[in-house]
Amino acid sequence: MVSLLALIATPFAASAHAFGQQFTLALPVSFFIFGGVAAFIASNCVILFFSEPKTHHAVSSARVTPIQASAALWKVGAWIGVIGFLLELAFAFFGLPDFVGNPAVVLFWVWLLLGLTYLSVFFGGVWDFVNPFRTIARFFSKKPLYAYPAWLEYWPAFILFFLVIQFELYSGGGSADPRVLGSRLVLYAIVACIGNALYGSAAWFKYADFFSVFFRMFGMFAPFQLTEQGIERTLPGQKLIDEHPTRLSLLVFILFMLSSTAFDGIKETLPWRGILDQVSRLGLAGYLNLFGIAVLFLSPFIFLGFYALAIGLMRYLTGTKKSFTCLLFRFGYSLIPIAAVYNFAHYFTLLIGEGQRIIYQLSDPFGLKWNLFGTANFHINQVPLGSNLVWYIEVFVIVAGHVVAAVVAHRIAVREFDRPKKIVASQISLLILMVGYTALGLWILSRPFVPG
Amino acid sequence: MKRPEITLELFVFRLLQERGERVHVIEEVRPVWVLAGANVGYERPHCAKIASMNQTTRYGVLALIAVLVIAGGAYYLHTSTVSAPTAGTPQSQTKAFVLVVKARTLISGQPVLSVKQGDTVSITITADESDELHLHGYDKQVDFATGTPATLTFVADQSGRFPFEMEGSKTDLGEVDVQP
Repeated sequence: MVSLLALIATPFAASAHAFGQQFTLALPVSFFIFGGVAAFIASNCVILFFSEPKTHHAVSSARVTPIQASAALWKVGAWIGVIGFLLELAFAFFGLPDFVGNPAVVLFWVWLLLGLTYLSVFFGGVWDFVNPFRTIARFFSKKPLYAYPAWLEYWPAFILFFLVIQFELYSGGGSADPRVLGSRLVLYAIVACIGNALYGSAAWFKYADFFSVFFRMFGMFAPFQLTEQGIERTLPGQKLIDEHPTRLSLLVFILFMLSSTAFDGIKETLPWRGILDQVSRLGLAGYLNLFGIAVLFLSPFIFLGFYALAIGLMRYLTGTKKSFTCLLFRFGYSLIPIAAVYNFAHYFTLLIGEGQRIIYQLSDPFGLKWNLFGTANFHINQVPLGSNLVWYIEVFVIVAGHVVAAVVAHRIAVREFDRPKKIVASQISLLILMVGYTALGLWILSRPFVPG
Repeated sequence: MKRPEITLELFVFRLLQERGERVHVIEEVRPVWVLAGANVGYERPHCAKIASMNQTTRYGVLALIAVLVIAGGAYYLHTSTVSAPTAGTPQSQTKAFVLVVKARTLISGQPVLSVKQGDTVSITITADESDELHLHGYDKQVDFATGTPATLTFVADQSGRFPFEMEGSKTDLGEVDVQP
């Protein structure tokens, strides 16, 4: 009886892992304290040491290193993107039915949405270089039917972002099922084609395409940008200071970059379980998932509320005549470094753990006993780094991101306010906000995981 | 944007423009207390002591603060995570845990099993149905029959948090926390 059960259980044993498992111990309290204190000290140093107005002008410039035959290179990029996308679909529909054997799942969730994100933080423009959705969409339609309506702003990108995260967190295993993932990717491509046909690729992939906006936002910090003219070199973070969002929808998108990661962490904590219990007691036990999805959708607006409070406090403390919306937008990009490190600290163990699966999966992507690269028998080490090292990396990265964000916000303030008292006053409210976000990020990492 | 004064920096700006380099912006902040001719009075910089430092001193002090924070932090974190072995306690032990499951719920035994890296861990499970106990991360399993205890033994050589479950029924039972 037992052996029969074992026989049945064995083929499923491999697929019984939940995809995206991380085996990190909760961050110890000492790390949490150190991170918070270090971030606070760093912010104060930035404010105190650099807040008197400069006595000289500074000039910032972008150097462009032109690459020979740029146009041809971008055609190559387009082909790489399309072939990659078609391969991804082939793996998804014709490979093995689970994430253990099928590379499609790990390629998308880990190597694209994590790997390319972290690459984009240092080297931007890579997604634009390969964007398969644009290439495919333009294949079907080159001329737009309508002008992009101004009221749409970046809302389609935000909605698509929300749908992707909702699919990741609440699809009940669908996100790890290659067939479901493949069909969702096809659906996304269809949406891109329709959007392109309606409004043209320039507008659609600037405002409405989730991936384009997502990777572009993370790439704002990057010192290197791949553009159609060549590789552009700027000071890291300079674009975060020089430019700012002008649309509320983009601000919401940026905040969702932060809040979606925060929510993913919070929903594994005991306080969240407590909230779910309360909801159950209200008689809504069957709607817990819907409740979670609703909170996920509202999360960027909650974060927007805190950010708006900080800006309001800034206006009060500085006594400035600048409008609320002006300041709200002006500091908008300063949160991107925090979003980037939140993402990294929360997910990097997934990249180095589950991400290893690609090594053996690419040798035998369709489960036909191939061994294309000789790595088909590679056994992944699901815990490649010791817990100590993971903790140091998490805290170091989160504090580093906080420092970058504080410096960016400070540089913006120095531009916006001409008196030292105002510069310092403006930074106080942002200090509170950023230390708050950093502390939240560290708290999420330090809460004991609640199984089940 | 205020009209920039004609300065050396503006000259450099124009030069870069002519060379075709994309120039983002001139950072322009006027020192308030040196407005010639304007009667705004003298405004002390916020932190006079710091403002009176020159560039080198300023970065020197910052570097010192950074070194202190990092060194102090490293010491603090190291002492908080490394526990010195007390006399009489062996470096690695054998830890045994007993779980009893009824109706897919843990009725006896803790859900969080805390061990130290290097310990030998044995989990004995008795359940009212046949299934398989699967430890994630280490990827170890043991089958058990109804009412018969089965033991899963392994050496906890990796630190981390490793959930275990009843594989067939997908019932999460708990986790093994291996402290480094």
